[in-house]
Amino acid sequence: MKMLTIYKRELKSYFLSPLAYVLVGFLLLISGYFFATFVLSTQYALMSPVFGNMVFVFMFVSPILTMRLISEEMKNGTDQLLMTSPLRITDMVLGKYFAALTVYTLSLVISLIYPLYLKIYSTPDFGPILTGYIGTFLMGAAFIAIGIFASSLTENQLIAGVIGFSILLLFWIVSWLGDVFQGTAKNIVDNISLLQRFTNFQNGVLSLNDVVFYLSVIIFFVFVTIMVVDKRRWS
Amino acid sequence: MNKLRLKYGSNMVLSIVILLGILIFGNLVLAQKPVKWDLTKSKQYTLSDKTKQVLKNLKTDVTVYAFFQNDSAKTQVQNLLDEYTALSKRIKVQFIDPDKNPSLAQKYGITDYDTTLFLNSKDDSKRQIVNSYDIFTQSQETGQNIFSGEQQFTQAIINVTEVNKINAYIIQGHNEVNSTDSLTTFKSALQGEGYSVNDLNIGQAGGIPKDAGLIIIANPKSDYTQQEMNAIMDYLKKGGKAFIMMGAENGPLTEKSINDILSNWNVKIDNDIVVDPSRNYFMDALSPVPEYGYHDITDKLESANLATVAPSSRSITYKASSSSNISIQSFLTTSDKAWGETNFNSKQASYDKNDIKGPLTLGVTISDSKTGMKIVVLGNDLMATDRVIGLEGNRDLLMNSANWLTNKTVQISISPKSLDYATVFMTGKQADYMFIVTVIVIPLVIWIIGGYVFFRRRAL
Repeated sequence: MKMLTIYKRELKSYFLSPLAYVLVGFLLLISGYFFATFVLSTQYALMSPVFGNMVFVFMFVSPILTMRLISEEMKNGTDQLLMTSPLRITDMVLGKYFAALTVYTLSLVISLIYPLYLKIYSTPDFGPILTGYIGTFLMGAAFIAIGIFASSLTENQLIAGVIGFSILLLFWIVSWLGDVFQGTAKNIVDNISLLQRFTNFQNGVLSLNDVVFYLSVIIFFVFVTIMVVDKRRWS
Repeated sequence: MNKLRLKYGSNMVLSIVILLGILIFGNLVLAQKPVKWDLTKSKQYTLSDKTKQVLKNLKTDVTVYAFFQNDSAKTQVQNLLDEYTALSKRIKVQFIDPDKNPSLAQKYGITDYDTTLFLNSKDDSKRQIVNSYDIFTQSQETGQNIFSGEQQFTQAIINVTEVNKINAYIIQGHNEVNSTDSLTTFKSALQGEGYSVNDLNIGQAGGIPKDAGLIIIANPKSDYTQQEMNAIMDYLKKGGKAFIMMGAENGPLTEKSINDILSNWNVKIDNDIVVDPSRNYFMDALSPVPEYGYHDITDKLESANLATVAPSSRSITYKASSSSNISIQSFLTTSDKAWGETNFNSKQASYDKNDIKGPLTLGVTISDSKTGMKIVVLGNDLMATDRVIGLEGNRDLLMNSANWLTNKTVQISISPKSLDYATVFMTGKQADYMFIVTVIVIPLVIWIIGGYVFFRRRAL
């Protein structure tokens, strides 16, 4: 329940400041533009290209969404307060993580108007749309985990944002190495690339391996964040 | 204090390493046996039971080279081949951009983009090419795009692993088209399809070897001896396969052996040269571009819009067979404006009463369902020569003929998948509304709410 307290507090701070509105609006502006132009130009009742663009835009947006989560507490010194309080660090990190995830999920929920449009004017194949949403959600959740980790590293929000973005970019472009390497190296690169994993979801294939992979990335970065914050407590 | 810090520091690193280990291990365990659900309506990414069975029984490794550029065709084929590799460790797939790595394409005689090559890993002379027009076709009835990759790929895997290499012999010794001078491209194309190609002098070999899977006769200019004829007839009676090509580039037809053989099935090569003023190559009436009949050899070429150029052709006349097990089919015909010019000396070719009236047949197949015998007769041999084989779909026609003869065509049946996506029907106004709602209204509403909340708080 302590986690819930943090979660509520964070969510409130997101929606009482203009940040969440600006980011969600921006995300939906770009996704809407991609959706409308794709559907109107090709006339295909498809969303797979839209999902690709959504996660691409969120790669830029997510560091801004997460950068202040922990670094701000450190800067204001409120982290000391939190840490000395009976709250467990795990509760704090998870509460903040889920708050950011909720903002992202909200934009996905609003974007459901796209498949609704397809349903009205066509008979789309909902399988790939469903898996596309699952993949987009998981990808975003992984981005946020990486972002919150970056935020725990420094008390400067801007630097946290840049670090977060750099890690995401690295994860993104690592798949390009796949074309350079052959054999095992290519295999490894393909397997750790967030991007490579995304294609299955876009195509309409729900693979347990891919889901577990994204969950692993999320768990790893959230755990490391908890460790980093915890370490601060003892130093 | 330092000790404490060190203790917690190393504890932290240790727990991160342990977690990472668990996560990697978990992912690796899962990777051994992928669990996935294909949620597409047409089960786009699910292999048929037939393919699964073939992959399960696979005893030799198969190497697949896919010569693709980065485009949608590549994605389609890659998705499919991923399914194969997920099911069988024996399948190894490598995608190659033919522009970046032309040497490998050259090595295997790949000339077109979007070609997939299947090789037996142990013996790479057992191979099969799958062309893009084999897998991407259009339905005749509905015009829908159809993807039959699975059927073709599974058949190719069967072919390179189970079927023994087929020996093709090019008959020489009677002034046939010289196989080493003029048929090099034809030979390497056959090798690319997994044939072992050799010359054969029937007299010297004392008959047609037992391992012959196909004999190729390309326009002999002198007659075969009686013994040679007997050998050929004997071979055919026992279910042999023959590819006979007889063009008109050497003038009147003087030798009789081929017609003697073909007379067994009432098929005859005419002593003429085909003139087609209506369907021809670059206004050369002596280079007809025949129409395709409904036949396994030509139906893919038809849908891929690949024409055949047949310079200096003879026409073929045939009578429908009375026997139920013998089937004679024409697969190449000229336009009805064409005629078979019988006067080889006239400077100005024109139709007269001695000539054969069109439409003319340029290619027939003879097959005997009882013995398995198959013959392809082409009124043309120039098509197989290095100069002409590269024109339009000539090479494909020849390879399809050879594969039809040796039953290397698709025998398994896996229903192809339709690639068509549902389309959106909107009036211009509806489209405008959709654009405005998704691009302008939604973000604007969110920003307005945000602005309201923000300024109200500031005002408080």
